[in-house]
Amino acid sequence: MKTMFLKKKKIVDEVIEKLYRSPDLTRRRIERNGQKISLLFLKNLVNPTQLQQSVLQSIQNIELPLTAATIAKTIPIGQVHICQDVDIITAHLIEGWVYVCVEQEQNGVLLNVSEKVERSLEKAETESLVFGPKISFTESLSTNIRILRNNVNDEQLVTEEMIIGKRNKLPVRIVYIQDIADPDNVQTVKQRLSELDVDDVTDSSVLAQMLDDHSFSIFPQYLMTELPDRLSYSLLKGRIGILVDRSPTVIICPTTFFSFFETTEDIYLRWTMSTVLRVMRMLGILTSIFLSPIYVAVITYHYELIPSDLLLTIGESRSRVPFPPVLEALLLEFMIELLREAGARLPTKVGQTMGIVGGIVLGQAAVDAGFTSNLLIIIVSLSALGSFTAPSYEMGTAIRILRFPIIILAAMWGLIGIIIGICVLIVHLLKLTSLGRPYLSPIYPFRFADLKYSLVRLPQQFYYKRPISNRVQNKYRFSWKDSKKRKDLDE
Amino acid sequence: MGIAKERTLLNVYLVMFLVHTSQIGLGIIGVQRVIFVEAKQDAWIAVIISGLLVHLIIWIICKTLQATEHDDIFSLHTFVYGKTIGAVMNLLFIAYLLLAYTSIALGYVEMVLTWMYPDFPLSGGVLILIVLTIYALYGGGIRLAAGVSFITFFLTIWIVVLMFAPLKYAEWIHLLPILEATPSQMARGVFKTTYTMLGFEILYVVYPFIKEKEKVLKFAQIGVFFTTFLITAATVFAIVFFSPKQLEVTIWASLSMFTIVKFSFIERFEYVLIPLWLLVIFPNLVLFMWAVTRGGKAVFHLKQKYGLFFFSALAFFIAISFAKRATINEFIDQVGYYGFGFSFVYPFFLYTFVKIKKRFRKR
Amino acid sequence: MKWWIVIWMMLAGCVEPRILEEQGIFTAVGFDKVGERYKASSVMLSFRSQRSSRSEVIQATNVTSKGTRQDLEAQTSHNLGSGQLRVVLYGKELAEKEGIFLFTDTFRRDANIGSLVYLAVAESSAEEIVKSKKLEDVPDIGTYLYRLIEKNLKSESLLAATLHEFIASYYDVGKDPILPYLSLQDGKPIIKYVALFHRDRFVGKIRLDESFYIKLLSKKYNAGMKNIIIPRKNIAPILLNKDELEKNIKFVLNEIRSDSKIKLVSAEPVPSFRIHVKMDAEILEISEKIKPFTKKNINMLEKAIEKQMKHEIDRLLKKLKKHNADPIGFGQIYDHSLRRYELTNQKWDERYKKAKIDVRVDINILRTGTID
Repeated sequence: MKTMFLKKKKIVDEVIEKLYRSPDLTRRRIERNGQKISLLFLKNLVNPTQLQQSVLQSIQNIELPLTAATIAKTIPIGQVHICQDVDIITAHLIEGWVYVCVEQEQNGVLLNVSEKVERSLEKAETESLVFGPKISFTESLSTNIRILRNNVNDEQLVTEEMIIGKRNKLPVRIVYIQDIADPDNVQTVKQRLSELDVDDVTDSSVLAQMLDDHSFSIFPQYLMTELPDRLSYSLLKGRIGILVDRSPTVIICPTTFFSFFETTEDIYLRWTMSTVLRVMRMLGILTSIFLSPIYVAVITYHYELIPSDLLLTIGESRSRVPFPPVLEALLLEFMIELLREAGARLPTKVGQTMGIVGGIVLGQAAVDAGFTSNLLIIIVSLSALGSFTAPSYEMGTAIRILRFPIIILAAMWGLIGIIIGICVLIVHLLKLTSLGRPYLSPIYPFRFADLKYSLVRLPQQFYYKRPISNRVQNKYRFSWKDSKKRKDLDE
Repeated sequence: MGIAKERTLLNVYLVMFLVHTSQIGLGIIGVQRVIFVEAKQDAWIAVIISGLLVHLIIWIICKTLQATEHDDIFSLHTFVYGKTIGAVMNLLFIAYLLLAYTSIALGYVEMVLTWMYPDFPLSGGVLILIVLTIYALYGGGIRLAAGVSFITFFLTIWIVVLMFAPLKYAEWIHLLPILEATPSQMARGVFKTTYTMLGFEILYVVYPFIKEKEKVLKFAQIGVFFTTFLITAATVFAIVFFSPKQLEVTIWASLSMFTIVKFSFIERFEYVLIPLWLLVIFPNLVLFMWAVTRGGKAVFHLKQKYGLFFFSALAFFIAISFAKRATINEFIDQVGYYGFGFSFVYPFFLYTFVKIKKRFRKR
Repeated sequence: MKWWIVIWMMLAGCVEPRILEEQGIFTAVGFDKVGERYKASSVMLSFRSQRSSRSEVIQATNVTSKGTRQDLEAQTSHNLGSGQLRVVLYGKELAEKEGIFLFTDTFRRDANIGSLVYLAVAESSAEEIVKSKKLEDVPDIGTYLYRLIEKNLKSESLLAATLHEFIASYYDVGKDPILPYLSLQDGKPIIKYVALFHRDRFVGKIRLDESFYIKLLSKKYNAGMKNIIIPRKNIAPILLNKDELEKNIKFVLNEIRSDSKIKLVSAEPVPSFRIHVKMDAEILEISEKIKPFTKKNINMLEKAIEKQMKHEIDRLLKKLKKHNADPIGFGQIYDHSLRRYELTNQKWDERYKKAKIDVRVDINILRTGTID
């Protein structure tokens, strides 16, 4: 009895000792009928109203004698945990729990009255939509799970928790739909997450980089989204999501190259429009990568290709430029990149002005000063525009960077250089995998049926099958036959 | 030869692209003249005949590979001829593949030098192609080779549509009178076509990597059919486009035909076509080099990734020993003869040998 | 793994660039014969920073055509580039006396020059046309000539002008090339005639409207409009005005659809061909009032036009034979209709002169315009 008492005495002291560098640590003593009770909590992390109303008041009202068990039973708080392990107690206190210690007893109760830092639900910033749900994930995991559950109320939805990070522990949830997602994929995700041996994961994007199959590649290998509807759509098509606490972006895996060019808007719009938009986006990306290299190649090596009507215009505006075409193109590309970067760093309002000033004034002045030819201005702005059409910010950036080596190739070997660049690009994309699944699917390995999920859109009745590339367990969404039933003229 | 886990096996439809893209390469750009010199206006019939021949040989090849449990040519050789002679045959086959690889690289660089960059060093051009192949195969293997041939096929197939543009200047009367060539002329025409048709022998090496082996024949035939169709079309178009004597002096007939193509935004299409053609020969290069490394593995037990570097270096040194157009042409012709022997004649013998050996074994 | 990409680039080396504005770009070249030497006059486009980058003509004479190129090179600070060459002119004298094949052959070998370059024969000398200053709103004479010929090809008043067609016809046994024939009118280049060739030698010219029949017979082209003049007496019954029997009546016909078949009837002793031309046409213009178009009247009209056309075709063929020019390709038909027979140019030259060509024309008038 005595040893126990001693040990009990120690718990509170030990905790205080362990957290002595936190000036927030508060100890509140209560005495009821000679029974001493200590409340330990970090004052900035707890919800004060809850602490007063639910904890303090009810402790005052609880029937005597006070024991940890009775407190745990009667106290009106959701998460209650009887505990005497100092390490666990401190870990919980840091997260905003309260430890109610009945001093004569060997035991105490941990009560969750934490108040997480959280912002309210807002519109998505990085993936902006014109049409469709606007809500976006926030930095709080529990809110995100709430939103997700709200979107997918399937009981098969699994949200498995894992803790990553040795020092800064980060709760991570692997979410998938049990009877759709490929168990192999789930296994791979779990294994990769559990094999991570890091002290700290700053954000979900960092986690995604840690999970990369090919860390030297320029291309992002996991889709990051802050749109709950995008996540739920992907889950229902057999993909896996990784939700990370303190991060508003969710990792979706496995990902293919083409999914970076899809938006949820494609699904919400009618199929004709979204097909056109998708094709247009693809063309935009191609323009963005290849237009300025082609300019460089043609002006440097292949003036034969220029149609006679354009020859004079191009020649005249080029003749004022003192640099070779490569340098001209690189300079202008650099300028546009600077503008973009400046716009991104500045507050929105200033950023807009910057864009206008930079774009119009600088561009005009550059042409007038004979710094660049006006054709190149058009080309470079077109390719910048093209790269902004990529719905994924990461992919857009990758594509902008990709342009530079190809410009250099074009400057070295003309059009052949560009084709060499294309060859390297094809090979690289073919080699890439995401979560061990081919990156270039459904083009290679070719899955004709999946093209409707990535390159084009079709009317809804064609979506009776889930994408094969995801290796789903449950292949059908609805019966194809029913969707095909047609009524006779007068029925 | 139970190689390869389930994962590295290729879907059978890819055979179509593998066979087709390994066949179409440099040949189709300039073959018309060579056939025309022999068979005159019946050149296109010669192409069709040799196409039919290829269909037959594909069938024989599949039969040969299905006859025993040895499903690629290298193990088949050791099975038929025993260890020593088998190794020699394998070496010969590897040598052929390597030479074919070199001839493709050389031929393309040569074309680029003539049409676009006369001052570019030949060795540099070949080096670019070789490094590109190494990059593709290193860490990629057959999955990548198949992917490359699949994707480049779709990136270049639209050129076929442009083949119709020169028909504006067609003189269909050039095709008349049909079937004027004597049998010997026709035979020579068929023989000259074979260099263009080469490449299907890759089936001997690819075969074990295909998932559904019983369907290989069907898809290979489709691939060959498409090749034959394209070459026939290219030949017919060249005959009607050029006048007979003109065709006899035109080295790159298809390319010259494309000089007619003109868009409002591109004045001279041939300057786009030559770079684009790199995409057409790229799968050729990758497939042949891959086959060579497979051979290296079978004969020398050399790991494919080391073999890749070794054989690439070898190819480079062979290539740089050729500089003049005349020698390059002779070299390519020589490779054509080898290819004729290995791909058009040898399969029949191999099939017979395999059958005999098998019967012998049973007793 | 990335380091070797850099090494690869280093090793392979760079290509000599040909930057657009550093080129002196030829858009047109004219060749003339001066004594024993050739004179090349080239229109060179060079770009300057002020808005005055216009063309200039540079000239050189040398004993070979390639030699002139080197002499031209010596006259300018730009690198001469022929990748944008659009028009090549040959002086009449040169084309008549020397033939132009050697020149075209050099072009064909040069990968820089496309096969859609237009060739033309210049009345008097190529130099004069190249130096002409009247170009409408086009910046340089090369582009002007290019557009002039292109427009006429598109409207199909010209038949063939490209390098490819010239070379193909030249090489084709039993077919001769034709080219546009440029002449100056008030110092402005215009196309009035079509130049006839015997192989690569200029032998004569025909008017543009005569070339209508060449188009009709070689059937590859849409023949377009045609003026027909019919003697009054042939259609007297349908005329309203019965006087002035000497005056002729003009018709403007527009071809809607035509088909011509040239058949080798017999090869020996002289080649004899039968031409059957069928043509659907509409009448666009008549110089005089005529009776309403009843079936009978139209028949009569058709007969008259047929007769006139046959007559004109015969005259044209006679003219072609006289010049020994065969742009329609009778020799080709002869050659390809006979099995196991190899025609040579010499053989055909003899036979062409003796060839019998029998023409039959069927006209079908479909429409007579918006009024009767």
